[in-house]
Parts: sequence; structure tokens; C-alpha cells
Amino acid sequence: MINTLCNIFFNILLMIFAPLLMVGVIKKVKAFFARRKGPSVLQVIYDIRRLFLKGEIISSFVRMNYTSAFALGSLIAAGLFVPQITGEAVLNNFSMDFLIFVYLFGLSRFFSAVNALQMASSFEGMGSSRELVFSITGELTLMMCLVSLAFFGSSCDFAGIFGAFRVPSIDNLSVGVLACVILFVIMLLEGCRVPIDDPTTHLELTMIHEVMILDNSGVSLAYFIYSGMLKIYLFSSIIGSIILSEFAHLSCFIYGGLFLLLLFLISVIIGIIESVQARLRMVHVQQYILFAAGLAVILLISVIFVRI
Amino acid sequence: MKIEILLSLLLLLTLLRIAISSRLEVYLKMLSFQGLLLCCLSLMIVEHGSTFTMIVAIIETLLLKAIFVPYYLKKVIIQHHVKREAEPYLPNLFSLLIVIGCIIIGMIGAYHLQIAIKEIKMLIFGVGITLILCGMFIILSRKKLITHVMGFCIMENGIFLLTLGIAHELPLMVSLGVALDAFIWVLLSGILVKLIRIEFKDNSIEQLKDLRY
Amino acid sequence: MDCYLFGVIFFALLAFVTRRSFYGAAVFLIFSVLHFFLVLDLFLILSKSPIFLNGWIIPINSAVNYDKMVILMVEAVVVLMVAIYNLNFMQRVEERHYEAKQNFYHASIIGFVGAMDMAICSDNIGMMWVFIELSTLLSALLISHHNSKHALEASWKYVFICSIGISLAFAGIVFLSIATNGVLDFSKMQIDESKLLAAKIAIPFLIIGFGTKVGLAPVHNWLPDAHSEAPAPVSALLSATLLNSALAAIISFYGVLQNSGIEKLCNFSSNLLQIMGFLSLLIAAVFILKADNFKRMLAYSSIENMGIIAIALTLDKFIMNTHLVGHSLIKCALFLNAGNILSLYGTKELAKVRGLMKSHPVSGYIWLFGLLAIMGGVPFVLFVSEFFMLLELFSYSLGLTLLFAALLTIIMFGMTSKMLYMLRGEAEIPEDYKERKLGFFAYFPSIFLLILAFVLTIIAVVILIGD
Repeated sequence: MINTLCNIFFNILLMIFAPLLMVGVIKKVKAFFARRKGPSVLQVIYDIRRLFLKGEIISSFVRMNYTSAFALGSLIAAGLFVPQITGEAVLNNFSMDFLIFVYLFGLSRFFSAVNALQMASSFEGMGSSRELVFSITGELTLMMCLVSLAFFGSSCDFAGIFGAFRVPSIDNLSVGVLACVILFVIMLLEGCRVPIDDPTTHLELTMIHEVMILDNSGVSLAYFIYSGMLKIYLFSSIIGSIILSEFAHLSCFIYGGLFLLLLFLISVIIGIIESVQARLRMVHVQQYILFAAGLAVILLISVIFVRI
Repeated sequence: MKIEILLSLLLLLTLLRIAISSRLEVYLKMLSFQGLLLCCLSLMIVEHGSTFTMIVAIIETLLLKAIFVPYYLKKVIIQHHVKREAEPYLPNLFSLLIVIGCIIIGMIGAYHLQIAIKEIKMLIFGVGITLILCGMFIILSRKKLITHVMGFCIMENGIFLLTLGIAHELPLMVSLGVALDAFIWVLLSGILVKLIRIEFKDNSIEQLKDLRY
Repeated sequence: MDCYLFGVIFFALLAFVTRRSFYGAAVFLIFSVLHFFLVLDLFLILSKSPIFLNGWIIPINSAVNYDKMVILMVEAVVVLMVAIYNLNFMQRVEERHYEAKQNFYHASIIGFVGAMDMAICSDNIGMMWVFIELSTLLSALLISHHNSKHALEASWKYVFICSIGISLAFAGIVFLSIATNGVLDFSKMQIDESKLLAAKIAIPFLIIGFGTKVGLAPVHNWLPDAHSEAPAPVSALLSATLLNSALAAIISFYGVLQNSGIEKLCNFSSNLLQIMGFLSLLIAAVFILKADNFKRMLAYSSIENMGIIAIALTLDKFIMNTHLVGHSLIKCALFLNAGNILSLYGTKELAKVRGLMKSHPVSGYIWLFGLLAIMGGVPFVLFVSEFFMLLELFSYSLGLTLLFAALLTIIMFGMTSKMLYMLRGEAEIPEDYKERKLGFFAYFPSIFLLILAFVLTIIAVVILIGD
């Protein structure tokens, strides 16, 4: 009982604050590369608070008013299935929960697309079309990756999948490394980071995600910004669980500490990638994601051969 | 057994890398990396040959495929100032798709083959068939002559893998002969490319279409 | 085999160090004479005739059986004739241009002949593969001897298409070794009943792979270019001997399949060979009508004859051997003569060559008789083989006979009309070629080969009546 309560409490606490802090660390790393001092790590929290206090301007064509809330809501629901800092999800032992995870992400993307399209502005139409085309291959890759992992772990839920990585061995290593790479690329895709989409670009013709939230303001904008960050956090927690499975037997404080360390590391890596690499051209973005799809095919083949 | 899987996966990864890049240096690096992987694989798989054949197989793969051939091709590339495979017939996106398709076809083919013929190792055979298909695809979809040579080298790697995948071993002379042939082939192609460059003043296969009917 | 290998390397190196083309050609001539006697010796030993020289030069292994002996003999004769022609060829004015490369040329030719021999004589299919690939590489250098754009393009196409085909043949060898449990020697090969699928997969790979080298459609694309752009002696060698050596592989493999007695495999391979044979005839028929270069026309005729040999392989061995011998001799004569015409007129285009009979009667008569020979005219060998081929096909299937006859007729029409065009009319020789005359040795090989073809007809008829 205490266990479950602790579980729920810490998971939700982290789910609220960790994305904000991760993005803060990313910005700090970018500033470090530019030899600036950069905004404080808590600046994102202040920004979102500011947005909550502002009023909202809604376009006159909007019929469904609460798309931003639904988008964020589906993401939080997806997050309930992912094992996070305590090593267990809030809703664990739920068979086929990785499928629900993928579909809830899709639902969130659907709502953000609807939000963009109902503003009746051509910029948002362009942005949603780009994002949805990329997500065709992206969802396919994500699905292939998670299915391979499920087959590898011979089980249908996240707990079983990560349980398979407990004992270190060579095939665990190869499958794990490949899966982490694929998940990292998908994280960059979903979270709209460089090299797929530059979050700081001012040029509307090159925006993908930012242009979808261009005409939102106030609370809606806060929800959308937060959901972008939450996507990064959820993928990082999956990657973290894969990497840290072998430490699962250690005490929960040490595991928690390692998890936070890993989140920090992932933010630093994303920050480095953002500083070092430029955004790819649109055609090359498709190629990039297709490369991840190729990696997922190879992962599938390898898992089949390991388990046969 | 597990290391075999890792090595085969790395081979498939090299194929993906070749499919997306348009710089010739990358092709060369992937070719020598493939040679290295083949050398390690032949170390793993030779179970029933004598020590001598094993040593010979290792040396020939390592020296010829991983070191000499890429070195020679690099000299040809530098001599001809050919750095990029610009404007291939297919943009890189589609070649990536087709390479992924080849991987899938190769693996499925090897699976069906293994049901009927018990003696082959499915993974090695699958990767071998994939390499052959991808080598042919690279030859068909690229314009520069040097890239054709490299596609052929990939095909040769695939055929080498096929010989690794069967239960018994080809005799020493045959393996040596095959390796020698591949080496001479590469040398000859280098000479021909040089002659073609002098005569046609061009490095791509576009000019080589006068002879018809 | 080792002595032979060393002999080939010795002669090749000797040719490589020569400075003038006369010496290089002389080395090649000496090599071909020795080679001829070697093969004659082998033949006499094999046929166990009372007259033989002692066989210490080539150790006899069980590989060299009757079929391969035929191919070897014909190769020896052709190489000797080509060497004689080569002596005259190197003296011609336009060849002085390439004097600097003549050592590569002669060394490659000697190496090429050696590789072909060893391919034919080897028992192991893997070694055969190695030597066939080696012969491809050596002949590529020969084709690009005249560094023109067309020659380089032809050479590149040849190397590529043949190498890819041969690589697929190697994949076939891998499958074959699964089917025969690792035994790769032709004389000891036994196809395992339980591994039928492996053998079945091996068949198309091997036949199409080696068929690339033979010049069967649909993988014949390199043949017209390579045979037409190469210098005349090389063209003759390619057409008359190289195609045969690749055929030796297919013949041996087919023999193994027949010996195994498994219905499915025999039928599959026969069908495949027949399809490829008829496709070759079709391609030759279509493209001969469009050929505007007489050497290309002869190359398409080679494709046609290879198709006929492939079909004959599935029907009757004797017909196949007769046709093989006849085709090699006659095609060699024709290609050497085509080299003469090229030297006399300066161009390969059909439209520009007229009045051959009036201006150079010897060449003209060779051309005329060669035409008669290759069409299967009465006094020459190909008549015997094509006649009996029609009889066999008739008992096999009526439709195929009609198809065969129709395609052959089209090819005959194409070749005859073009060749007669070249023979008749007034000569229009360009200025700088007006006073050309070629020596005796330019004509002697072709005449000798045609007479030999005539003599063989009589022998073949005698054998047949004796049966």
C-alpha cells in the first residue's frame, strides 16, 4: 500500500517537474557552447507560469476548443504506463501497454494537428502536413522497435520487456544499444529537436512543430510547450529503463539517483546535438527517419535470430 | 553464436550507411569495414577446416578486402578527383527504401531456404543474399564507374558469405583462386577507369552508350 | 598441370619482354605450335591409338574425356591459325601505332589461351570457375588494345557483365556443393536425392551464370560489342574458343545431371537450356537485320550458333559436338577475313564496303564460301549438324521445329543479303587504302580452316553412315 502510494507520488511528481528541468538543462548546454551564460535552469517554469496568467486569443474558426488539453491529457495518460524513477509504472502489469503507449502518442499528435488545422491559416496547414508525413515513418519505426523489444522480452508489457535486460549478456547489449539508438532518434522526432526541427528558428517556412502552435496563446500555448517537453521525458525514461534494468535490484534510492543522472545525461546529449549539428534539409529529414526505420528492421531481424 | 549475430548486424548496418551517403570516401570506409567483419566472421565459423586453411582465409580477407582493395581504389579516386556521387539515378531516400527491402527479401529468402535445406546457417546466408542484392542494386542505380566497382566488391563479399554459410568448406585452391580473381578484377577495373577517363574525359557511365543494336 | 602452367607463364613473360611486335608475334606462334602438338599428343593417348608420343608432358586425369577433347582439339587448331594470322596482322601499317603496347597484347593472348586450356581440363568446378574468370580478365585487356572510345566501352561492358554473371555462377557452385555434399569434382560428383532443392536452385544460377560467358540470351549483351571492337585475331579467338570453354562448364554440369537420373532436374535443365537457346535465336534474328557493321553481324551469328548448340545439348551429343567444331572453324575463318576487309577498306560499316569480289578476289571468295559454310551450305560441316538437328527436333516437337526453321531462315536472309551486298558492285575504296595488298599469311589461315571444315563433313558423314 505504502509502496503503491510512493510509486504514484514520485512518478507523478517527476512527470510534472522533470520535463521542465530537462529542457532547462538543454538550454544551458546550448548557451555553454555559445559561451553565454544562458537562461537559468528554472526559466522554463517561470515562462509557463507566465503563460498561465495570460488570457487567450482564439481564432474565430475554432470549433473544438480544448484540443490542447486533450493533447496534453493523452500524453499524461501515456506516461502513466511508462516505468519511471521507481522502476515501476503507475499502471503496471497491464498487458500490451506498449501498444497503448504508441496509440496515445498518436492521439496527442492528432489533437495537435486538429488544433493547428482549425486555425484556418496556411502556415499551420503546412506545418501539420510536414509533421504528419514524418510521423508516418516515425510511428512505424517506433512500433517495430517496441514490438521487437516485446518479442525479445517474450512478454507483452513494459515490466517484462525491461525485465529481459536485467542480466547483462552480449545479445542484451546489442539489442539494447540498437533499441536505444532508435528510440533516441524517435525522441528527436517527436520532441521536435534538431536535426529534425529547430525549436529556435524564426523562419516560418522552415518550422515544423512551432508553426503548428503559432496561433495559440496563453494556457493552450503552455499546454503545447509542456507536451513537447513531456514527450522528450517519456522517451528518456524508456531509454533509461532499458539501460538501468541491470541495476534494478539495487535499493530504490540508488536507482532513483541513477535515473536522474541518466535524465541529466540525455538532456546534455540533446543539447550537444543541438549545438553541434544544423537542422537537416526537408528531404534529408525523411531520409534520417527512414534510416531509423532501417535500423528497426535490423533490430527485428536480430531479435528473431537471438530468440530462435 | 551471439557474436556472429552482432557481426552480421554490423554488416547490414554498413549497407544502410552506403545507401544514404553520396560521398565516395564513405563507400570505401564501409568496404574496408566489411572486410574486417568478414575476417572476424570467418574466424568464428571455420569449425572443420585445418588450421592452415583458417589462417589463409583470415589473411586473404584481411589483406585483400580490408586493406589493399580500399587503398587502391582510394588512389584511383584521388587521381581522378572524383569525390562525390552527385546525381545518382535515384535519390538517396529511395535507395534507402530499396536497400531495406533487399534486407527483408534476403532474410525471408534465407528462412524459406533453411526450411528446405537443413545444412545452411540462416543468418549468414540471409546476409549473403542481401549483400548480393544490394551490390547489384548499387551497380544499377549509380552513375560513376568507381561506384560500380565498389558495388561489385560488395557482391563479392556477399558470395564469400554464401560460402561461409554452407556446412562444409570449399577447398583451399578454390578459395585462393576466388580471392585472387577478385583482386585482379579490381586492378583491371582501375586501369580501365583510367583509360576511360583519358579517352572520354568523363567519369560516369553516361558517355558509355554509343554502341547499340 | 603444373608444367603446363609454368610453360604458359614462361612464354607470357617472354612475350612481355619483347620490344618489337615481330618478336612478340613469333613467341606467340612458337607457343601455339607447341600447344598444338601437346593437344595432339593428348588426343592420341586418349584415343589409345597405336601411334603416340610418350605422355609425360601432360598427366592424364579422368577429367579429360571425349567432349572436352573435342573442344581442346578445335581450340588448338584455331589458336595455331590465329597465331599465323597474327604474324601478318602485326606487320600492317595501322598496327604500328600500337607497337608500344604489343608486349601486353602478346603476353595477354598467351595467358588467355593458357587459362582457357586449364579451364577446359580441370575436373573441379571451382577451379574451372577460377580459370574462366581469369580468361575474362585477360581478354578484357585484349579488347581494349585499340584505345578508341568504342573499344573501351566494349571492354568495360564485357568485364562487368561477364563478371557479374560469373559471380552468380559461383553462387550456383555453392548450392551445387550443398547438393553433392561437398564434392566438387565432375568425375566424382553424385547428386544427393535428399537435397533436391539445392540442386534445383543451382541449375538456373549455373546455367545463366556460365551462359553469360557463352553468350546466350538474355545475358548476351556484351557479345556484339566485344567481338566487333576487338582487333581481328582477338575477335576470332573470342568467338571460336572462349565461348567454347564456357560451354565446357555447362556441358560437364549437364552431364552430371543426366547421370544422376533424377527426372525433375533433367527436365528443368533441358527446358532452361532450350528456352535460352530459342531466345538466342530470336535475338540474333532480330538484331542481324539491323546490324550495320559486318563484324557485329558475325557476332550475332555467334549468338545464334551458341543458341543452336545449347538446344543440341539437350537432344543429342554428336550433333552438338559437330556443330561446335564447325562453328569454331568457320567463325574463325570469317573473323580473320573480316579483319582483312577492315584493313583493306578502312571501315567496319557495311554500307561503305562494296565490290569485294572485283577488287580483292581472294578475300571475296573466302567471304563467299564462309557465308555458304555458316549458313549450313552443303559441303560444309554445319550442314550435317543442322540437318540432323532438324530431324531430332521434328521427332521431339513439331512446333519447335517450325520455330527453329523460321528463325534460321530470317537469320540466313539477313546475313546473306548483307554479305552479298558487300561482294557485288563496284569497289569504292577510300584514297589511302587504294594500293593495299595483304600477304599470303593473311589469307592462308582462313582458307585452311574452310578446307578443314569441308574435310570434316566427309568424316562426319562417314561416322554417321557407320552408326
